Amino acid sequence: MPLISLGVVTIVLAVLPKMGGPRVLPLYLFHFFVFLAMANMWNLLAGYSGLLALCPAAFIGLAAYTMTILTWVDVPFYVGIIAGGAAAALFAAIISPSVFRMKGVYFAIGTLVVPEILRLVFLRWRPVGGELHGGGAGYMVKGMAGVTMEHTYWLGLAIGVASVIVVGIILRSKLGLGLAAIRDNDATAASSGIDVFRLKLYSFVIAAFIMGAAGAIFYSYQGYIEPSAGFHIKWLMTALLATVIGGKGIEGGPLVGTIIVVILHFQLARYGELSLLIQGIILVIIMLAAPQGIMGLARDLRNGGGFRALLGSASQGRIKPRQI
Amino acid sequence: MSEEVLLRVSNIDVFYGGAQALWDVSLEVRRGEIVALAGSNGAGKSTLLKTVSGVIHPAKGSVEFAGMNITKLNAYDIVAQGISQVPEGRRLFPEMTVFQNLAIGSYNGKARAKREENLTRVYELFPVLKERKDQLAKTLSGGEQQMVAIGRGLMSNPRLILIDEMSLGLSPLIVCDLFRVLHAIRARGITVLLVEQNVWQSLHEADRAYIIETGRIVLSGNALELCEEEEVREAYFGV
Amino acid sequence: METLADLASPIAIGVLLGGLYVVIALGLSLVFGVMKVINVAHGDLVILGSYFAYVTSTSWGLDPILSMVVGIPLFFVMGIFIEKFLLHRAFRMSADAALIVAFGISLIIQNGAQLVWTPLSRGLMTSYTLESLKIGDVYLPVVYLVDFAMALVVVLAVHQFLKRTYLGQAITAASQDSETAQLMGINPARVYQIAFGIAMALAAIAGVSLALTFPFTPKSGVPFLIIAFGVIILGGLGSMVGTFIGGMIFGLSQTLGGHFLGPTGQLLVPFVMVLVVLTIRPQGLFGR
Repeated sequence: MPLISLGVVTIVLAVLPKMGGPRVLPLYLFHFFVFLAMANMWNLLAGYSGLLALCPAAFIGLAAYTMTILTWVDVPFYVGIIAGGAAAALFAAIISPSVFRMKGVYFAIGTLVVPEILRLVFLRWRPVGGELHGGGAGYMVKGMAGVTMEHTYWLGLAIGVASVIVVGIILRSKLGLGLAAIRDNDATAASSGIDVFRLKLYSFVIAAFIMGAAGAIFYSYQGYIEPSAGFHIKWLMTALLATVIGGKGIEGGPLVGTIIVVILHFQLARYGELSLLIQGIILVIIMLAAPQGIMGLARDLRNGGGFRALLGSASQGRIKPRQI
Repeated sequence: MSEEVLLRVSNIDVFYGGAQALWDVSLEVRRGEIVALAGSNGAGKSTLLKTVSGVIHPAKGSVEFAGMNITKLNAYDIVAQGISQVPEGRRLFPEMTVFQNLAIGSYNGKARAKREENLTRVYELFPVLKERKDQLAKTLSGGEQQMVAIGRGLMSNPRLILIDEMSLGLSPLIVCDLFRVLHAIRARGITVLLVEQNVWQSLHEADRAYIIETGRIVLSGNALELCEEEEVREAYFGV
Repeated sequence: METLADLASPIAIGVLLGGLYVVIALGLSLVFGVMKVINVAHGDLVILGSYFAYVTSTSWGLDPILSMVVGIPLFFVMGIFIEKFLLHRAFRMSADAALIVAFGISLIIQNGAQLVWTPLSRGLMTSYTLESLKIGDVYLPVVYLVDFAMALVVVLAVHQFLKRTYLGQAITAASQDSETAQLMGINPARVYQIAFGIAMALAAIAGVSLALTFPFTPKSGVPFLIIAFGVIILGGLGSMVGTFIGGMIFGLSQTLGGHFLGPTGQLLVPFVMVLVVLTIRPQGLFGR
């Protein structure tokens, strides 16, 4: 997205809450910004770095907990947000030597386990505060008096825009080139002199920071964090679905996908568990029928020309199966 | 040796890995023959063999076996028709024993009934395999692996056996033994199409030969006569 | 300080529990070995098996083990359908696509089950559910012995099938070299279907085992997936003995973890172990 239009859109969005209009709009947009940040980062990992990371919930929960716990020791929540992102990034850095040794599907399962472990840890571990009345393992976010919906909205806007800018910068940098090489083939990239580990590390850590910060912002709005929410698989699902629907490995993909996911989220919210069920069905259908996503289809239309190419290309998402 | 044409490849164009590998290639193999397909590395010999066995499909042209058009058939269906391929590099199932490798060779329906009979014959051809029958394939020497590969190919009860680069990486002594085996196979009524980088030896052992260069057949005819051809001697024998 | 005698019970149960994990891991291992894809929905399919046993038990009063007579063929056919129409298409695109589709299936099963059967925890009660065998000072719950016995039978059956039947050998060959397997006359697509069908049948059996032993909820699948994965990594692909030992090690890690660290430890210790094993030795101790 050209920088100028991005700037204009940002300003428009920033002014939006002040302009009146439907009260739900800021709420929808807030969710949009947060989910966009998640999707952009997941796309960075899975679409560009070849890291099918199933652990977004780990970063989100960890960051949200960090922020919340810091508010219990009188650290302002917005500082906590940065600290949360940093904590997630640090965590990513710490586990990376271990998880990067796992290739392909091992990496997927390895990253699946991580949020589960954290969830179990936080079920038990209560660094501040005492036992809650009636058990439970959650914390309220403190120091939120005087914080309005507008404030959280702007924080959301900030992280959403940040995610777009960060991805844009990375893709146009040397890091981006290196990642493109890695995505296609680790071994070949390594033999061309690319420090595969270091590039993956940068991606992983950056993604962790932004996902974490976005998660912390979300939970500052929620006002309450608990293990089953912060480390819930639905975070992965949101990022995954948005990226796949929009187009994995395409810069504009997450944006398009997130729009749809947010609409889905609010339409299905009243159905509770049915929501995840439907998302699962949509995911399977999209992966089988149009794995390149909406932006991918658009691209194929432009390149191949016409509807016939479109119908053909849907069954041609033929990438060489990765060697394990 | 009869005049009956068992395999007829007609004017095939084949693409492999995105690039064209064969241009307008035709060849014939008659029943009871040993035919060699010779040429240097990368000439397209293996591609041709894989097209016959159905692993690859030609973009143009046809492959006929015993009068039946097998161009569009999948590899696993072609085996049932009576063509068996001994792949380049042996490609044994590494974690299976010699016996298991041979046994799986008779997987296709028609061969199953004859398994014991064919197994006995393979052990006659290669006595050392009988000794090593419970050994894991990956622990065998190169020559022994080639024997298993050929034996496995025979287990499917083929009428035509395709052998891809039999001599690769093996000592001349072993290669001589293997060529002797080819004659024994032919004596049992099985037709052989052989692909070889070792042009000299294959021309001396085969009945007829085709020389292939950069995806095109450049020479064909009686093997011994080809040996005498000026071009062949210059190109392959360094004379 | 704990004495060895106090540990005798968790150790014995941990070993027996390994049997249950072996059956769960076997299905996962079969699919992984043949198609090189981890079916992340496997744990949920096992739970589906548990719900099937639950339904037949409560609605028809069938003994769960007898319900397998219906369950096994049913799940086998389901497996063939899932592979043929869903996984195969995804798998031809890329391994990542297959993983994502399996993930989608996992969510569908989990949340579908939650809609039908509520998040309430379920379990199976039979005449022997509450009985224990007393050996020395140790009480061995009968269900665990039943699980272990079933595991032995299943592993033996699968092992013999793979070794002695043409189809079993075809599956083995295709998992080692699928292109050459075609040259033997083996149709890889059919092999994948059958392998997945068998894996689902194993999931049905495991589901019954599980339902007899633990209470379960729609979300119970993921921990079992993770542990099963740990078992096959530890035990190594293609090694029955290795898988058995891996199963027992994880069973022990669960019971001892629970013994020393409380209920959280029951999952925490095995999970951490999975991470450690994945880091150190993805190819396993016994496998190739």
